Amino acid sequence: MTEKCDIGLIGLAVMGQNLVLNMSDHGFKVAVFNRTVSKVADFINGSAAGRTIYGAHSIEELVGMLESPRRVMLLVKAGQAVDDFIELLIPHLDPGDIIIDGGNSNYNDSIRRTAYVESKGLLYIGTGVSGGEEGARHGPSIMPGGSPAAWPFVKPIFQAVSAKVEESVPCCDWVGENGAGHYVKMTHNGIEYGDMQLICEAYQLMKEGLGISNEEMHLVFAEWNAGKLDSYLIEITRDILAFKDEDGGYVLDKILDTAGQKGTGKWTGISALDMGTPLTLIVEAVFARCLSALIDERKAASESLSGPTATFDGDKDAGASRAAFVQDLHDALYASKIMSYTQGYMLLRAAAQEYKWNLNYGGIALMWRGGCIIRSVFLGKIKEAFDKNPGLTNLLLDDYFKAEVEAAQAAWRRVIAKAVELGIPVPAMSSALAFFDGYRRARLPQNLLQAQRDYFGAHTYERVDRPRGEFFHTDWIGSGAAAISSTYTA
Amino acid sequence: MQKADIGIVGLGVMGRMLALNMARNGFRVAGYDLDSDKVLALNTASDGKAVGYQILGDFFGLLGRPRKILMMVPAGKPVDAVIAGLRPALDRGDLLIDGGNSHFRDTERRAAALEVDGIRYIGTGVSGGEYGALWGPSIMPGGDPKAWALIRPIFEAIAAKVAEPDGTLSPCVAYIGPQGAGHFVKMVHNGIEYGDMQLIAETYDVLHRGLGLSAQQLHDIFARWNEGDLQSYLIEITRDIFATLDEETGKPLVDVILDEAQHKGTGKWTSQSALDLGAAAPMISAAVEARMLSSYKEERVRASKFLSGPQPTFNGDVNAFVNTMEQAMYAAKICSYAQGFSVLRAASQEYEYDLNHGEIAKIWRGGCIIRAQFLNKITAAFARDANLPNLLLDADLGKAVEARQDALRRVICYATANGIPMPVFSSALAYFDAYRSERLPANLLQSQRDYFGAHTYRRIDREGTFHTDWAKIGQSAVSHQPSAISHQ
Repeated sequence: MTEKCDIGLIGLAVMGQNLVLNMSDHGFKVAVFNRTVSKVADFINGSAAGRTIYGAHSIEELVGMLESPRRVMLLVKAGQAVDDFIELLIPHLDPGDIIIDGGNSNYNDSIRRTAYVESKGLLYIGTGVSGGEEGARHGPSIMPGGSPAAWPFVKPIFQAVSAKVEESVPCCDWVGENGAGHYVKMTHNGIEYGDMQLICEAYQLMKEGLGISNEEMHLVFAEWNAGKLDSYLIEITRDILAFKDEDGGYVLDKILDTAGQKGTGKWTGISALDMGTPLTLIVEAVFARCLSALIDERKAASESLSGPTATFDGDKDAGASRAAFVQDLHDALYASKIMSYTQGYMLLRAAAQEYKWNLNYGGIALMWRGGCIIRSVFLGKIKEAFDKNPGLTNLLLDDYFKAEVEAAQAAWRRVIAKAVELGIPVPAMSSALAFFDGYRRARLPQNLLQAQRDYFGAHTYERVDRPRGEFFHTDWIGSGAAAISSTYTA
Repeated sequence: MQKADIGIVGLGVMGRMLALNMARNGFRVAGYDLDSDKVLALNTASDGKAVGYQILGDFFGLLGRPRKILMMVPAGKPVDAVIAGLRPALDRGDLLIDGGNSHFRDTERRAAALEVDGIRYIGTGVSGGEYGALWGPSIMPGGDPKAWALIRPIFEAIAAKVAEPDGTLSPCVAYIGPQGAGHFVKMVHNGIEYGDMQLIAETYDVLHRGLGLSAQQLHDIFARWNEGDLQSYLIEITRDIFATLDEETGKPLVDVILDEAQHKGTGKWTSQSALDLGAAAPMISAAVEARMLSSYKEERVRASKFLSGPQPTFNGDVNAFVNTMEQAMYAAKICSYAQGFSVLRAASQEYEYDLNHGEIAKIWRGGCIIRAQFLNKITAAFARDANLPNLLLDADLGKAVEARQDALRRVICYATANGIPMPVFSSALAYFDAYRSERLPANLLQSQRDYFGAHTYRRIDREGTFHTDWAKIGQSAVSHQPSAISHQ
């Protein structure tokens, strides 16, 4: 090695190795270190052989191999390990050097670490990296936040290795200060929970409600993937539905129906509650996973509780009505997806206000457009909406999404009504519709709730005919509840 | 002067009412507040058995030992500030009680910090509002069991009483469990309260906006419902609310109240705890979120002019639909309590609270906001099976939902077609339908996670964890036909 390295990376698990290989593909010289040092040699002599990748045997050696200002990226387990490496690095770094955390850290930790690292005269970046192992190797979506002064030094590397859409537009741009990058990544994962749940609901409706075979569903998803729903998750669902075992059976049918839920989906829900954002669909998706975990209870309940007797159109033209229903289902999925992203963006907006981040909403849609799990054509439409109006307060107030939802809503309502009749749970789709119907209402029934709160707790209320900020209290018990005579005879 | 049996710090409405309640029950109470108006308010209302002070030394001078001090101050920093102020004057064996709506984690932190000095700590939920505090609240104390013995006679005396079938009176108070168990249970009580209130609000919306029923008609309906399965404090006060006219305009008062509700505090905490524990409580969350959406008032007004939807109409038999609505609400209510109790169950396991669920239902029967005859059925369910995993698995309660599911489905279908939001009713049904599903679509979800993240999956027919190289099938293996479903 004659020149110094462009970047150092600590943590050679699969994600780390793949990201390093990706960097070297783009001509960067990378120094690598791992806590279990033998992994360094394995990697250097293995898949990194013959590449611009150089091993270090200590933190000190790694730091010494780097061009100034030094860029050191951590791809280690979120939590204590990140703090430990920050402590180990600090004594070896000079003012202006940059520590980058590329793991799935909680944004609160990134807020804390940015302040701490900056207090030592260094710069910090907390970045989301999405796309799994494949993404890391061939182009992930990268969502960096932290010290703004660090961005110009990291930008050339990150944008080079990130996924590209429309041939050359990188799925990586500056997100915002301190924890903004990890917050946006967390929200991405929450949205991913929602997207997956919606697909599951569509699958269950087709399978249990309509009795459609895996093969037919495979074709339905293939068709959907050629239209407005074109996305990575629809695409892999298409593939999954066609995948058979050596014995010729569908693998999907043999998989246990219990899903894990921890980490980012849960964090997104908890944060939304703190922000006061109605993130209804994602929270339902998280709880749906919780319910899936109760296998024994569900088995017991399935034996003791019976559902409705209704079946899907037992009448003559079942084939045609099935096809029409599948078309409705497409629209229901699409409209629900619009609600989920609307809520996700409401959350980002609330968080930006709370944490004083200047988020670029169109830029975030672009970053999610490729490389990551929720990548889709749909995100291009969100980007367009923010390009048209950077000050857009809510996606539903954009002309394109208004038209799309209004066109889909009749089908959406039919699908939910059918699921309700058939006894197939569609928590995400129905929470999406309830959100839409609530959002487009100038007046909601919360006036009654305020009356109740004032009745039992003297919490006071505001009036529709008086300016905001004027509070009233009624002595409800003493006000003569029997003042109006009863004539209704039900 | 005779020593006081208990001291109360914080003489706001709740503190004052509890002091008067204790005095009425024969206890001597010393009160303390920095605000002279509040001290005066207590001294004016009391017959001398409850005396308020503005000087801490005077207040302490009246306390017998071990000192028993109940704090009735707003949750959060004020509680820490009061503790910091009292601590130098406290001795080993003294008892501090927090009767506010503190987060259970804060209670656990405070108890641990005070234990170092041998000071005992109880975190207790007190529900019932102003009126309940004065005439009998529901009280949910948690913490050191030995400390509970010190305060038990006073709490049992002032708590609400419920008449049992044999004529005896049961106080609505019981030792809940160690640590922050009392505040946890109070928090879940409030979460359930959010659910109950939102179910009523959605019912009001359907009947008022959908069926066009007047406040007067709604008053009559709620009066009748209060005689049946739904009998409860919240149905009762809703009945009264619909009968109350605005003096200024002569309109029903409910019609002139702004439709924006508060959503900070215990409802939010319940949802966050449920998420944290992995215990499904979607109805409570949906109720909290409905309040959140209500606070987007300006945006909603804009959206109402921009986004179109169906105009509600109703052509059926009003009386029949009202009866359907009653059944639907009862079914949804059972689902909501099933979720609330499953959160308690998860917390009991995770935090080792060792909760007695039947006892909790019992002390919620009187005094508190969610009080209802219905809670007897929950006590009975836990009497049949103390380890009941979910109320829906109880024969009585499960069958009650099963028998009313058709009503629940009809109401939601009506709202769905007519553009009336029923987030919590819908969530109740989805919960019921998912809970009684032997097979859910999470197998697809697991496939997806294994596909993109190699998260592995389990199988229905074999032990162990598995991973499939899903992508190897390749695009070529997939046939593309123009129309997915054939028209036959």
